[in-house]
Amino acid sequence: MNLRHQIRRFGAALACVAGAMLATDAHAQGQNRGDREQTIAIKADTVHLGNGETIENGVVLIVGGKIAGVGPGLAIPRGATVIEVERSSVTPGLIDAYARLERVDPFDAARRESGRGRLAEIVRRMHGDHETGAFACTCTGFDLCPAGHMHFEYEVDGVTCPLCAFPNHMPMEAASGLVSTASLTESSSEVVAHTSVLDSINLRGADFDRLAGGGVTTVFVSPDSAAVIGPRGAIVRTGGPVRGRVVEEQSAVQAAMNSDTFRFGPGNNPPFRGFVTNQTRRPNTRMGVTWVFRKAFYDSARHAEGLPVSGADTAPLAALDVLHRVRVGEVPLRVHARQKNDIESAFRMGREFGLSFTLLEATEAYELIDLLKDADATVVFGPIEADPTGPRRFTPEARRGRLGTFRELLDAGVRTALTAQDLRDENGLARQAMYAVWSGVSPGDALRAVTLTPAEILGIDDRVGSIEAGKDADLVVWSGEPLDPTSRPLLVLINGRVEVDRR
Amino acid sequence: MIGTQRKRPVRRRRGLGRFGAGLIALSACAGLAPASERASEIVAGKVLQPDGTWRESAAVRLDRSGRIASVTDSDDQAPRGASAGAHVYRDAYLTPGLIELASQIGLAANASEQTSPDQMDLSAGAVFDPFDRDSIAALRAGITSAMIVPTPRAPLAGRASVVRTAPGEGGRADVVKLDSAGVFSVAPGVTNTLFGPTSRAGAMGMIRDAVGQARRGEGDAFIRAALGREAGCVVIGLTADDVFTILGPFELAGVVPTVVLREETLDLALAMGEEIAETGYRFIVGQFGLSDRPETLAGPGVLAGFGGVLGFAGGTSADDPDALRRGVALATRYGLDPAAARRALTSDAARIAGVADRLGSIERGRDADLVVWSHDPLRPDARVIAVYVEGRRVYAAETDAATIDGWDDRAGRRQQR
Amino acid sequence: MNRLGIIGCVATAAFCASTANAAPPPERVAFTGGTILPIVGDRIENGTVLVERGVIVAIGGEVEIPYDAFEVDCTGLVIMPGMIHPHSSDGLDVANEALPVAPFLDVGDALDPSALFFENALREGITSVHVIQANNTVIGGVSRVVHPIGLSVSEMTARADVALKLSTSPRRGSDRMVQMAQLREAFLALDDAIAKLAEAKYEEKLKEDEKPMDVGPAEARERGMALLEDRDYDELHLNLVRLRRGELGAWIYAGAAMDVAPALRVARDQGFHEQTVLVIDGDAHLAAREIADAGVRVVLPSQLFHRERDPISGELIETFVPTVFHEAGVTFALQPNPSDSFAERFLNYQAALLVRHGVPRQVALESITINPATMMGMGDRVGSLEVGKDANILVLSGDPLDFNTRVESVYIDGALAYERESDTRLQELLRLQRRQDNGASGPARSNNSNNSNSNNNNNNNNDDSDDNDRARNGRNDANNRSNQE
Repeated sequence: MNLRHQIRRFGAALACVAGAMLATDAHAQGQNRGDREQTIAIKADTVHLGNGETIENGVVLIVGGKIAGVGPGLAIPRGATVIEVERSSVTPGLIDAYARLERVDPFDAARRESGRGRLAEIVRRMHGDHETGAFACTCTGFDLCPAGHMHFEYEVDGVTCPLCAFPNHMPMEAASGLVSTASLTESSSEVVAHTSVLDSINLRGADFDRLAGGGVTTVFVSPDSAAVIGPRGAIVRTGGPVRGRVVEEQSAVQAAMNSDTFRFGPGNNPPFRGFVTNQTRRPNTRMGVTWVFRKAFYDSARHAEGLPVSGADTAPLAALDVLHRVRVGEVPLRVHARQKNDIESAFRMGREFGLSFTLLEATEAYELIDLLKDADATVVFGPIEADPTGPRRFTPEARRGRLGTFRELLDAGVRTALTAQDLRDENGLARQAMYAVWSGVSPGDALRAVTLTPAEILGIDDRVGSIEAGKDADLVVWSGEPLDPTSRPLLVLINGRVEVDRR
Repeated sequence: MIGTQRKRPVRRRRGLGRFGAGLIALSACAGLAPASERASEIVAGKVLQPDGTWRESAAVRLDRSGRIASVTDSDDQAPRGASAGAHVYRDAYLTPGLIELASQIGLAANASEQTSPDQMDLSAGAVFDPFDRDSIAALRAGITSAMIVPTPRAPLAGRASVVRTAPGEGGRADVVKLDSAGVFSVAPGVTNTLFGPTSRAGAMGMIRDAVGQARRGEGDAFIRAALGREAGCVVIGLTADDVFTILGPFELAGVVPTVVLREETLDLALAMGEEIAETGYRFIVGQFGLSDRPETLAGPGVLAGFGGVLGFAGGTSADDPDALRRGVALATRYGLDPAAARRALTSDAARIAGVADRLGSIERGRDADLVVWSHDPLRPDARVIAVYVEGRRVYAAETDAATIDGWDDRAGRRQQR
Repeated sequence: MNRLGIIGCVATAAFCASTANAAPPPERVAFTGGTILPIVGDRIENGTVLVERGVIVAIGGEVEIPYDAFEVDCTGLVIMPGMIHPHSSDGLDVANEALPVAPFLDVGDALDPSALFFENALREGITSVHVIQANNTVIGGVSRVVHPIGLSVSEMTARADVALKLSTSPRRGSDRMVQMAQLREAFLALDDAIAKLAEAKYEEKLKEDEKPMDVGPAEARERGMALLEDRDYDELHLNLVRLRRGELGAWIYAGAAMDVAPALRVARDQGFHEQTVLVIDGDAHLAAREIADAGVRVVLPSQLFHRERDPISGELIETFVPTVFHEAGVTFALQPNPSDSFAERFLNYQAALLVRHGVPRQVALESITINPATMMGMGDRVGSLEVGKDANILVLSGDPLDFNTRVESVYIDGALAYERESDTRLQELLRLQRRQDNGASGPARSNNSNNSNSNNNNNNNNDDSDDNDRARNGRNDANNRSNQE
C-alpha cells in the first residue's frame, strides 16, 4: 500500500509514532466491524446490576455490543469470547451526570507559540521546580482560572495550586482548542442557552481516557457556571470511535444560581455610559443573578408571543427561543446552586415560571432536606471531599459541607446521583460512592447513585445505567469489589468493545 | 467599513491583459519602465506536468495574450528560424509559478478588523499591496500567486482572495479572484472579550447560525455563494479538534470546506482516515520550519496518503523568501510523495484557491505564469533562473533584476513618478 | 483534616478526660476472640493477645487467660498493631527554624500535646508518631517518637532522641551548592571543634596531673580524643557526635533524584550510613536503584503518584512510586496525605492503594507498621504484635485495607486510649446521620445507649464551643501551615 510505503520512509522514531497510531486505528476499525456478530461472555464472582441487586457467580452475555442476558448460570454459546478474571466483579459503566472537563491544558498551551503559551511554560518550570522540592510556586489564575485572569502568586512549597490543585490534582488534557480567554461557557451574554458546550470540548482529550480508566463510561459534559443561563450540555461516551461518542448533542440547559457568575465570570463590572460589553456585564450580586434569570424567562414568554423584548440585560433572541422550549418542558433544565440561599432561590424561580429542574452540587442541601423532599427534587450531589480542589477551594460553602448529606437525601427519598465533577482516577466517581458507604449508605444504594440513578436523571436509562438485556454493553470489570480501595477497573467495555484493559 | 479599508481600486485584470502590447506602450508613455516583451516559446530540459511528474525536454508555446498555446516535445519542434521570442533553458526545470495558500503576503497589518465578530464583508484582496517587500521577495522566489486570507480575528473572518505577487500594468494590484473563499475560524484569535465570542462554543454558535441561514437562503449573500459553487469555504483551526468541531455545520450543509491546520495534521489524518478521499477534503497545511516536531511534519504525507488534496501555507516574507519551498521539502522528507508535493505547490494549490482554470499547471489555455529552476524546486539548492508572468519575464537571475511595471528594482522600491 | 477539625466542636479536654479520669489500667489485659494480624507472623483466627503491664506476653490461638486478666472481647473484630506515622512535623508550633544548621534543637520543646493533629491521628489508628523537623533545613534538630495522647510532652514520649533531620535539597531561597557547602561546613567545623577540644582536654589532663607538655599538638589531639566525654561537647556539637557514633538516626530529605547521591555520600563519609533513612520527594524514585544498592530505607512522599510531562511529546507520565521501590527491593514506609482528598489522610487507605496497584498485601501492611518502626529504631518495641513488644493495639471493625473499616478502639501500652463509642467529635461529624438513622444498618451505626450521654455532652459544651472553635481553627491553620513546610 502506498501509505505504508510512505510511512516506512518517515524514519525510525516517527514510524513508531505514526505506525502505532495507524495500527491501533485500523485494529479498532476492524474490531468495530466485528462487533455486530461478536459474542462476549463475562464471568465474574459478583455482578452488580446497578439497580441495587447483586448476582453471585454471574455471567453477562454480550451480543453485538448489547447485553443479551445476565444470570447466575447462563449457558455460554459456542464461539463466544469468554472473559473471566478471578475474584472479579462486574458493574455497569459508571455515569457522571455532572462531569466538568478542564478547558485547556497549560502544558499543551506551552507548546503553542502564543505569548500565553510562554507564560504557561513559565508555570511548567515552576511546577517542575516544585517537583524537585527546591521551591514551589502556586499559580492562582492563568489559563486555569475560569475568569481567564492571568496572575501568579508565589507561596511556600507544599501548597497545591488552588485552582488546578497541582500537583495533587493534575490539570487534564485540552478540552478546547481555545487558549485565550478560555472558558467552556460562552460569556458574551449572561444568557447563552443557544450555544452548546459540545462545541467547546475536545472529544479526543485525555480527560476522557482518564474517565474511562476510572470506570466512567458516560458523562454529562457540563458547562462551567460563568453565565447565569449557560450553554446546553452534552451527553457523551468516554471511549469508542470518536464519531460515535455523542449520545445527546443538545442536552439540558444549565443555569447557575450562585456567585460563580460574578465571582469567576470574566470581570463583571457595572456598565458605564450605557455601554454593555461582556467585560461590563451584569450581574455582580446574587440579586442581579436572579434578576437576569427572571428577565430571561419573562422575555422568552414575551418573545414566544411575538412581543418585543428590550433592556440592558436582554438575551440573544436565539437563547430566548431555547428558554421558551425549557418553559414548555421540551428541554430539561439544570440549576447549579451550592449555598442554602442559592438553592432556595432556584426553587423560588422554578415556582415562578413553573420550571422543574435538576439541582446540581447542592453542598448545603442538608439544610433544606424538607424543601427538597416537598419539591420532589432531583439532585446531582457532590463531590464529597475533605479538602475541596479547584475553584471550589475558595468557596466558603464547600467547607461547610457535611459527610452525611448524601445519605440524608437518600433517606428523605430525594432522587440523588453522585458526581465527582472534575476529580478523576483514584479520586474519581467510584471513590465518591465509596465515601458514601463510609457515611453509612448501603453499597447497593451507593452504586446505584453512580449508575442507574444518573442514567434516569439524564433520561438515558433505556440505554445505559444497569446490566439488563437489551441495554448497551457498557461494563466495568473490577479486580475486586467496586467500592473496595484495593480494587480498580481491570476492563472497561463501551458498547461491547474493550476500551481499557489492565489485565 | 469597506471604504475605509480599501486602499486603491481593484479591477479585474482579465480582459485588460489581453490588449498586451498596446498597454505596454501606454504604460511606457506614462513614464514607467517598459515591461519586457512576451516570450513566444519557452524551452526547458524538464517541464512539470499537471500530475506532478517531469516531462523531458519540452517546448511551451505561448499565444499573444500570454497564455499557453501548446506544450510539445522540443525535439520535434526544432526552433525553425529560432524566433526572437524563444527562450531556451536546456538543462533547467520549468514549473508553473508556485502558489502560496493562506498567505499574508502584501497584507501588512491591514487584514484584521476587530470591530465585530462578523467580518464577512471584508476581502483581503482589497488591501493587497503588490509593492510590499514580501510580495516582491516572493516573486523572486518563484511564487507568482498567493491566496491571501484575512488574519482570523473573528469567527466569520472575511474573504480570501487570489492575487499575483507581481503588480499588473500601471503598478496595480493584480487580483486574480477577489472573493475566492469565505474564511471561518475557531482558532484562539477569534475570541474577543469586548464583542464576543468568548469561547469556542460562542464562535461555533455564530458559524452555525451563519451557515444555517445561508442554507435557508437567508443572510449574507456572499456566504450563500461560498456554500454554493461560486466561491469556496476555508475553515481555520488551531487543533485537530477545532477542525472537527468547525466541520460540523458545513457537513450539515453538504459543503466540503478547505481545512487550514498547522500542527495537528497527523491527528486529523488518522482520525478522519479514508473519509478524506471519499469526501474530497482539501487541506492547507504549514507553515513548517526546521524546528517542527516529526509528528507535525509527517502530517501532510499521511493526509496525502489518504487521498487529501494539499496546498501549503508558506509564511514567505522578505526575510525568509524560501520558506514555502523549505516547508514542502521538509514534508517530503517526512513522507510526502514528491509528485504530490509538486502538485501541492502548483496545480492542487490552484484547485484549492479556485483558480485551476487559469493557474497552476502547464497546459493549453492556462496563463503562462512560469518559473525556470536550476534543479527540482523540492531540492533545497534549487535556484530560480527566471520568472514569467503571463509570458513576460519579470525576473531573471542572470541580471538579478526584476522587471516589473512600476518597480524600481535597483532602488528596491516603487518607481517614483 | 479540616473537615474533621472544623466540624467537631467538642472540647479536646472532654475527649482527653475520658482516659485521664479512668481508673488505672488493669495489670493484665486479654484481647480475645478476634482475628489477629500480627504483621510479623501469620494471621490468627479467633486468637488471644495477652498483655501484662503494657507489654505483650503471649499471643496465639490457645493462650491461657489468667484469672485476674481484664478481658476485651473482640469477637468479629480485627486486632492489629497500631499504625505508625513515620514523618510528621504536625503538632510542632514551627516546623523549621530560620537557622540552617541547628542540630542542638529538640522537637520536644516545640511539641503541642493538644494539637488536633494528635487527636485525629489516634482516631485514625496511629499509635506512634515520629515527630521530626520539616524539610526546609540543612541540619535540623533531634526528633522523637510520641504516642498521640497525653497532656505533656514527657507523657507522650515513647522514645526521645531518635534522629536528626538533614536535607540535601536546598532550603527555600537557597540553592544546591550553598546547601551542600553548609552541610560540609557543619561537619568540618565539627572536626575542627573536636580537635581543639581534644587538645585542650589533654592539656587539662596534664595540668591536673601536674605534668609538662610532653608531645606535639597532633599527638596531644589524639590522646585527648580518648579522654573526651559527652559532657565536654557543647550543645552545638553533641548531637552530631552522637550521630557519627550511631546513637542517633539520620533522616535525610532528598527532594529530587539528583539529591539522592549527595545524601548517600554524606551518610557514608560521615559514618552514619547504617542509620540513614531517606525522606524522598519529587522524582527521587528515579534513583531507586542507587538507594537499593546502598541498602538505605526510605519514607515515601505522601502523594504516591509522581506525575510529569514528557518534555518532548508533552504526554503525561504517571508513576506509582511505591511500585518502583517495591520492585527495587527497598524497604519503605508510607505517610498519610492530609492535603489530598478525603481518603488519603487515612494511612490504611494509602496502604490499600498499594494493593490496588499490585504491591503485595503483606508489604503494604508492613509499610505502615513494622517498617517505620525499624526505621525509627523501635523495631523491637512497636510495629507488630509479638511477645515482648509494647501493647499498642488497634481493634478494628474489619480488614484494615477496607475503607469502611472503623477503628473501634486503640490501646497504647495496654491502656485504652481511644474508643469510638465515646468519640464525641466523630459522633458530631456524623450527627446528621444519627438523627435520621434509627440504628438501621451501615458501619457508622452508633451505640444507642450512648446517645443521650453524648448529646448531653454536646449541649454542655455548646456554650464554649464557639471560642473553642475559633481557637482550634487558628491552631488548625497553623497546623496547615506547618504541614506545608
